[in-house]
Amino acid sequence: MAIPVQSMTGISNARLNVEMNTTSFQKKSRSKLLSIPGTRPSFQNGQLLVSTGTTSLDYVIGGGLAVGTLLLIEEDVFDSYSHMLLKYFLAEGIVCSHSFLIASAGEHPDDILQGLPAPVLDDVPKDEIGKINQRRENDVSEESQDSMKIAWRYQNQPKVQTVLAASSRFGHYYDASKQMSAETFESAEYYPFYLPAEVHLKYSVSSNIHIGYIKLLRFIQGVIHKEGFDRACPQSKTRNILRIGIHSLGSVLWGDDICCKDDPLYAYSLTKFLYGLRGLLRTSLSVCMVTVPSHLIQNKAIMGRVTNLCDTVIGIKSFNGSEKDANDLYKDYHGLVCVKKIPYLNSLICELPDTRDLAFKLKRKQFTIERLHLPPDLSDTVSRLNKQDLAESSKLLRMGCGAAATGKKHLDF
Amino acid sequence: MLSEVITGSEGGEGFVLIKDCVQCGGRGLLKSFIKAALLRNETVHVFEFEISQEEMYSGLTDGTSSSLVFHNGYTDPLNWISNEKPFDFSIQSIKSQIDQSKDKESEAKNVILVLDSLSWLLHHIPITDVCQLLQEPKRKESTVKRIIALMHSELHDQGIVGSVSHMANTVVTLSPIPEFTTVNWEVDPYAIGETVQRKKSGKVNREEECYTVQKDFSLIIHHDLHNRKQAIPKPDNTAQVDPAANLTFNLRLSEEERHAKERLSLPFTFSEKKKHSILQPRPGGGKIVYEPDAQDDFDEEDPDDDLDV
Repeated sequence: MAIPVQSMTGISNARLNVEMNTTSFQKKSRSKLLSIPGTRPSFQNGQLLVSTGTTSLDYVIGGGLAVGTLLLIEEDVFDSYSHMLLKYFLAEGIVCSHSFLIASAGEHPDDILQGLPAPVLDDVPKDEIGKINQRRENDVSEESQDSMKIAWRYQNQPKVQTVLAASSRFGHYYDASKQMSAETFESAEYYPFYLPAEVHLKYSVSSNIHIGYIKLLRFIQGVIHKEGFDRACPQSKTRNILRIGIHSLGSVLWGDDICCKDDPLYAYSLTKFLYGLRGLLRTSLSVCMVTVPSHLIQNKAIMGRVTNLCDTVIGIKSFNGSEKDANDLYKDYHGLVCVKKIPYLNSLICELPDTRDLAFKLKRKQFTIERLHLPPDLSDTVSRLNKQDLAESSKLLRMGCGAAATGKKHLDF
Repeated sequence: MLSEVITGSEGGEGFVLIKDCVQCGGRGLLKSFIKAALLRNETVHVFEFEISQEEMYSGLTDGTSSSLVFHNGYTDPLNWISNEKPFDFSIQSIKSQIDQSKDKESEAKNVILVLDSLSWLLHHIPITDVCQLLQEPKRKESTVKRIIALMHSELHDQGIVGSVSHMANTVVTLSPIPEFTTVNWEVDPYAIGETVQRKKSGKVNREEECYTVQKDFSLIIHHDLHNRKQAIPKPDNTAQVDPAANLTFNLRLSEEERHAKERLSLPFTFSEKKKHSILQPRPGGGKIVYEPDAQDDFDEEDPDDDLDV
């Protein structure tokens, strides 16, 4: 099952060997890569990565978002957490002084901009990590105090660590309860796209693609070409990254009917748009995050096509108001994260996450994704919940010794 | 929570959607929304497609109706009787009608738009246009600050209901009272209203309430529903007998006996040193690599099925 992940270092070496120098020895440098603030090369394949603004999400998708790729977030039912991820993505752009583009059909881009979370610029996370380490040490010391008597071979087993974090820090932390100050984002280069302002009410369809999508594609194309994010025409001035955030793509407000009907009139409208968008991204210094209300899309085949066209796909399911809320297993978390697709970039395999059971929680300060980890269940009839009759029959037996052994401390056997 | 939404004290702005069903209509609730708005002296524009003006006005017009503007889409919407201009369902016309009457009053007042019902509109104009209208309260320059719409959810596809609900800030879903209730109500409740409210911060509130609309369109909330749910008795575990109560033999240890017991070294317990040496990972330590064989007989079922751990 487990495929070795660390076998792709050869790619970057091969690329470096192309520029043969006089000596065969060469310091392994990344000189060919652009150095842009807020980016770093991938350890796996040398791709230039940017942070999504959520450190744990970066870790899940293999270190970060590669420049030129498209990340799709499948919205949760009330679009609260997916919207937050989008905001983190944009806020990270502001902090790294990247340019960014916000496209929306519902909420005005200026409103989204005003609602961006404030970065935590002091080294609070470092403190937190220190605290965690300290706590871990405490745990260890506590453990050694009452060291295991019978199952002592398990003593040195590592504890399950739920926090996902890379060894080196990349990206920033944000405080969702505070808003970014106006002077922070005023200096940033910002291109808003608000659909109702671009297209006036009467939506039309030309050549099987909705006019809103065409307008947006043209807009993005214009920004990329005019503002010099194009990779093809190298310019002397300093390069920068363009972050594109598209909110609730495919919803009714974009004029698309894939959310309402099982057999929409133009089922390929959204896919055509994504093809175009991907083409633009691949040839430019830009990254894109798109949120899609996938729970509303009636025809699952469309969602399959959309997933296929995106590079990275993350699904978000919140427990907000669902019956899962009550489940003990989920009580520490606010929802589940599902990694649906991870890109294969310049390689045959992709970075595989070590676990697919991921959950997220939103603490006052930050959004974190963690491994969903089952705490030891210490209650009486753990595995018998669905075997009620069995429990009944064995009840008499357990009355004798089993029940006594579990709960009562004053018995010594 | 329902009464807070009606009075507008708890984030009543934006788009409020009432989803009713055949068993319990939502017009009474809609009227109590209108009544509450009129009492607050707000301008209400009603676009009515399903009942006549008299029926809508009955009970509402006791001197307060000056701020209630009625747009008749009921009597002759498709121009079958008279030769007047037919009712224009397009979004532009709805907006311009609101703006016209606003000019008359020459007040820069905020407007509440009531759509009775949204189902009618959805059948006559494309959903993308309807959603543009429903988006209106979110726009800064718009005078419409609140839209209250009634929708008969059975008349539409699941997708349309979902899309419209997705746009709403508050959704009130009505469902009939289950038959088996044994609670003695003072006044018979009309229906159960499930209110789901989405805050701007992303927080979602949800509450289920029984309500009755009175003759003067005020609302009675029955709190018994909540109590009834809690009243379901939980299985009691406290009645278990202590098995160690009346034993013919001794289960307790005295302090001396305990010391004696702890001093005894059991078989297969090792000294600290030996344990340590075993726990240390040795460099030459092998790993067990097991490749399943074709002849291997694996039991599909869990072999530890009968263990209670």
